[in-house]
Amino acid sequence: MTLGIDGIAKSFGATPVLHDVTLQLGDGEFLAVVGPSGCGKSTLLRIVAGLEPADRGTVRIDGVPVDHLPPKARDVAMVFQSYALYPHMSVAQNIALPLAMRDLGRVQRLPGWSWISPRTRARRHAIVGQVREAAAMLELEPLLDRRPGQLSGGQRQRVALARALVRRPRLFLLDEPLSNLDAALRAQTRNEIALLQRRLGVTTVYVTHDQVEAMTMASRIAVMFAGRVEQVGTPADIYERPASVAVAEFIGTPRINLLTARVEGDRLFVAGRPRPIAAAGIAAADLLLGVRPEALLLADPADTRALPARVSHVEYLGSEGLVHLHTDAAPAGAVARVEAARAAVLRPDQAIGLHFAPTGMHLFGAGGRRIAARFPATGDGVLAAVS
Amino acid sequence: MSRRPWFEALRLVLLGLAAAAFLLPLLWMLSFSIKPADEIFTGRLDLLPSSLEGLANYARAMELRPLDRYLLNGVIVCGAILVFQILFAAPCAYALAKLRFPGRSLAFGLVLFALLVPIQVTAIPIFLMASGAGLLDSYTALVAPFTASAFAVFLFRQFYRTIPDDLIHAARVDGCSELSIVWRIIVPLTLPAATAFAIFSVVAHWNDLFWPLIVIRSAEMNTPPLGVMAFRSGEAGDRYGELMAGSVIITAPLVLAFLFAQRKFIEGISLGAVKG
Amino acid sequence: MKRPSTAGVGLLFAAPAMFGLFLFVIGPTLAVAVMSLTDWQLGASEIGFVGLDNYRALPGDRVFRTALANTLVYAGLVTPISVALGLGLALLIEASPLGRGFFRAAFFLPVVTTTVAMAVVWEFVLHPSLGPANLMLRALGFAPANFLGDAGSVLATLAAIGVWENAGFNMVLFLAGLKAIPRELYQAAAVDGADRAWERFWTITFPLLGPTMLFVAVIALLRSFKVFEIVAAITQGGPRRASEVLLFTIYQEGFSFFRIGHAAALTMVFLCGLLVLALFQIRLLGRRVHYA
Ligand SMILES: Nc1ncnc2c1ncn2[C@@H]1O[C@H](COP(=O)(O)OP(=O)(O)OP(=O)(O)O)[C@@H](O)[C@H]1O
Ligand SMILES: [Mg+2]
Repeated sequence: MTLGIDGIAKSFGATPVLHDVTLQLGDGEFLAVVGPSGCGKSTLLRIVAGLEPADRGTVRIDGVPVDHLPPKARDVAMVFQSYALYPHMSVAQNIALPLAMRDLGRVQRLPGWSWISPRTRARRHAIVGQVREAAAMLELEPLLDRRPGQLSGGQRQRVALARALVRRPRLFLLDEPLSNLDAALRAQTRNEIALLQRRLGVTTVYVTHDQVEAMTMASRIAVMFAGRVEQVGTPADIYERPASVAVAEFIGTPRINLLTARVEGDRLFVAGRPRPIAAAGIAAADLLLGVRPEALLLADPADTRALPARVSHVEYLGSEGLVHLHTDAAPAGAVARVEAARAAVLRPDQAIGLHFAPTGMHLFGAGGRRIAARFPATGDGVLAAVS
Repeated sequence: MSRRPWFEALRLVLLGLAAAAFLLPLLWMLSFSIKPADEIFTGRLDLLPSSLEGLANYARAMELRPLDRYLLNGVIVCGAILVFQILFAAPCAYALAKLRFPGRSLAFGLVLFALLVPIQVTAIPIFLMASGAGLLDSYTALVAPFTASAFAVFLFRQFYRTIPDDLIHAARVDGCSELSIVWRIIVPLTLPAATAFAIFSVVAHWNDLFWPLIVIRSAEMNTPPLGVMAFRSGEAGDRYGELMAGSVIITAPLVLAFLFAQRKFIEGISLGAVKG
Repeated sequence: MKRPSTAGVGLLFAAPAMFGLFLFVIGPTLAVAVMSLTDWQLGASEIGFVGLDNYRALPGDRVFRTALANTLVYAGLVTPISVALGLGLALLIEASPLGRGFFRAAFFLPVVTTTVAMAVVWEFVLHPSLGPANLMLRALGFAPANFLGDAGSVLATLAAIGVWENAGFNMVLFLAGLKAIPRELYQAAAVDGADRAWERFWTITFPLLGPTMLFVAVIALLRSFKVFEIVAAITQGGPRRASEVLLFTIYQEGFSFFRIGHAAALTMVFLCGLLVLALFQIRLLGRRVHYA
C-alpha cells in the first residue's frame, strides 16, 4: 500500500504547526519521521490517521484521497507513545477489540450474543484464533489474561504492537513507541520492530525524536523542523549530504562542529587559514563550515597549515575517545572523535593543531542551506571528496 | 500518635459513649418493632421483649399496608432515575470533556448553574407542567424531573477529563464509533465514579420526601417515605409495634447495603458535599 | 471538502442532557422568577402582573418572618454543633486504629437512614410521658419535657435530630481531610521537637485542616438551610409555627394553598440564599484544590 501526504498544513488556533508537508511512501516502505520535540510529528501522524482534520492538503492511501474518512474507515493501525492500552481490559481483550469492531456488527457485539447466534460464535472463534496468532508473534501468550497494569513497560509495548498488527492494516503508524523503555530494551525492541515490519511488509510511518532509532530502523528518513520537512532521504543521504545546518546538527552524535568560514575565489578560509575549494559562485559572505567529529583530525601544533586549538577536556569511552577543543573558529567549541589510544595521552590545556577530512566537510550559506562544494586534497594525505 | 494507655482508654470511652448515643435511636426502633403492644407502653427502659410474640408485628405491618409495594415502587423509581441519569449524562459528559463543538463552554456554564438549583426551587413549574400533561400520580412524574442530572454530568466530566486523549485516539483507530467509545471505554474505565454516583443517587431518591409528597396522590404509588407517612397518619395511637416494624422494613434496605459496602457508600454519599 | 470532525457528535451527545436541563431546571427556574412577579393563584380566573409587590409584602409577612428566623436559628444550631462534633469524632477515630471501622460505621449510619421512618421513632422516643427519653430524664431526677409539643423546645429538638443526622456526614469529610495530611509532616514535626499530641495538633493538624473546616462548615450550612423532611414528617411547622421553616412554608403556600405568585417569591429568596452560599463554597473549593 502506498501513502501520499500532499501539502498538509495545520494550525491550532493562531499557532501554525504544520506547513505544506509533503511525503511519499512506496509499498512496504519504512519511513522514519524525526525531529525535535514540538515540531509537529505527532500532529502529522494524527492527521494521517484521521484523528485530526488538516487545514489544507490531502492524504492518499493507494492513491485514493481519504481526507473525508474517519479513522475507522482508513484501515490504519497506530501505536502510541503511552501505548494507550485499555486498562480495564485483559491483554487478549485489548488485542481483540479492533477485530471485534471490524468483524462483528453492533448487535453481535452484545455480551452473550454468541450463545444465541452460531454465526457470531464462529466469528468470535476466528477472532480468538487471530489474537493467539498475534500474541504468538510477539511472545505474549502467557500474558493474555493479565491487565495492562500488571505488565512491564516492554510487555505493554509489545501488546500495543500486537493490537496494531492483529488486523493486518494497510498502514502502520508508530508514534515514539520506544520512548518509555530503558536503553537496553529500546535497542532490542528496535530490531524486533524492524524485523517484524519487514516480515509483514506493511507500509510504516515511524515517528521518533531519537535519530539513532531513525538511522537504524528506517529505509528512508524525513527530518522535520518547526512544522516543515527539511530533508527526505536514506540514512546515508541525510548523514553525508545534510540539506541544512539544522539537519546536520540534528543527525549525528556527537553533534557536527560548526566553524565560521569565508570563501574567496577557490580558497576557503577558516580562522585566516586557507585551503582549496571548488564551488560555483559563492559570495564572500559569512559561511558556516560543518565538520563531523570523525573528520576533525588532530595534528602537530607546530603545523602552520593546521588550525590552532587547545584541548579543554577528554572523554575516554573505551572503544574511542572524544576530545573537546577550544578554537577561535568555533565559538561553541569543537569535538573530535579519535582512537582511544590517542585520547589517552591528551591532557587538558594542551595545544594542538586541526586538519579536516574532506568526506566529513559540509559548507552552509545564508539561511543555513547547503552549498554544493568540493574540497580537493591539501597534501595532508587525505583525498578530496565530492559532495 | 501517642500509644499511652490512658489516652487509648479515654478515646474508647468517649467514642463508645458517642456511638451509644448515635445508635440508641436505631436500637429503640428495632426494639419497639419486636415488642408486643402491651410491652411498649410499660414505662420501662428494657430493650429486649419478654417474648418473641412481637415478631408478628412484621407480618401484621405487611398486612396493614402494602409495604412490599412501597419498596417495589422505591426500586422502580430509583432504578429508572439512575438508568436515565447515566444514559443522558455519560455521553454529555464525554462531549464536554473530550469533544470540541460549538457552544461547549456555554453548555458547561449551564450545567454549573443547574448544579446549584435543587428540586425545591423548580418544583412549582414542574408540578404545573406535570399536572398540565396529566402525568400527576405516575412513575413518569416521579422519575422525569431527575433524569437530566447536572450533578452527574459535572461529576463524570471531571473524571472523563483525566482519561488520556491517546486512549480515545487508540479506540478511534481501532474502529470504535464515538458511542462505543463512551460505553466500551470511558464508562467501564470510570466505573468507580459511576458506582459512587449510583449510590449517591439511590440514597438521595430512596429517602426523598419532598417531590413524591407533591406529585403522588394514590396509595399504590407511594414511595417508601410516603408509605411511612401514610402508615403513621392512618394508624395513629395503638399500633406502634406495627408502625415501627414498617419503619424498619423501609429503612432496612439502605442500612443493610451500607453495612455490606461501607467504603463505597461513604464515598458515594460524601459526593453530596460537592453538590451541597 | 468534508473533514472528519467531532463537532456534530459533540452536539448530538450533549443534546439530550442539555434538553433535559432546560426542561427541568433552567426553564422552571426562569418560570419561577416570572411567576414571582404575578399574583397567580391556582384556580383564579385571571393572572395579574404585580411587579415586585410579592417581594415588598415579604417583610410584613409574619409567616415568612417566622420561617426565615426559624430556618436561621435551626441552621445556626445544627451547623456549628454538627461540624464540631464531626471534627471531634474524626480526630478521635483517627487517633488510633482500634475500632476505627466500627465507630465510623456507627456515626455514619444515621446519614443513610430514611428521615421519615426515623421520625416515627423520634416521635415515640420523645413522647411527653411514655417516651424513653423522658423515662431516662425522670430516672436521673429531672422533670419530663414535652420536646416536640412545646413551642419553646421544638426547634432545639429538631436541631438535635439534625445534628444526629449530619454529624456523621461531616465526620467523613473530616476523615478525608485528615487522610490528606502527609504523614511525613508529623514525622518532621516530631524531629523538630513537637512530640506531644497537643503540639502536633496545633502545629500541623489544625492549620492544615483549616480549608477543610471552612468547606465542611459551608456544606453543613447549605444542608441545614434545606431542612424540610423532619418538619414535614413530625411537626408540620407547629406548635404555633415554632418549627415553621422556609422550605415548609414554600411547600404549603405552593402546594396546599396554591398561592403560586407568593410561593414563587419565597422560592426566589430561598434560591438567592443558596446561591450566596454556593458562591462562597466554590471559592473555598478552589482554595481546597490549591492546598491539595
Ligand atoms: N490539541 C492541540 N491544541 C493546541 N496546540 C497543540 C495541540 N496539539 C499539539 N499542539 C502544538 O502543536 C505543536 C506540535 O505538537 P506535536 O505533538 O505534533 O509535536 P511532536 O513533534 O509530536 O513533539 P514530541 O516529540 O514532543 O511528541 C506543539 O507546539 C504543540 O504545543
Ligand atoms: Mg509527539
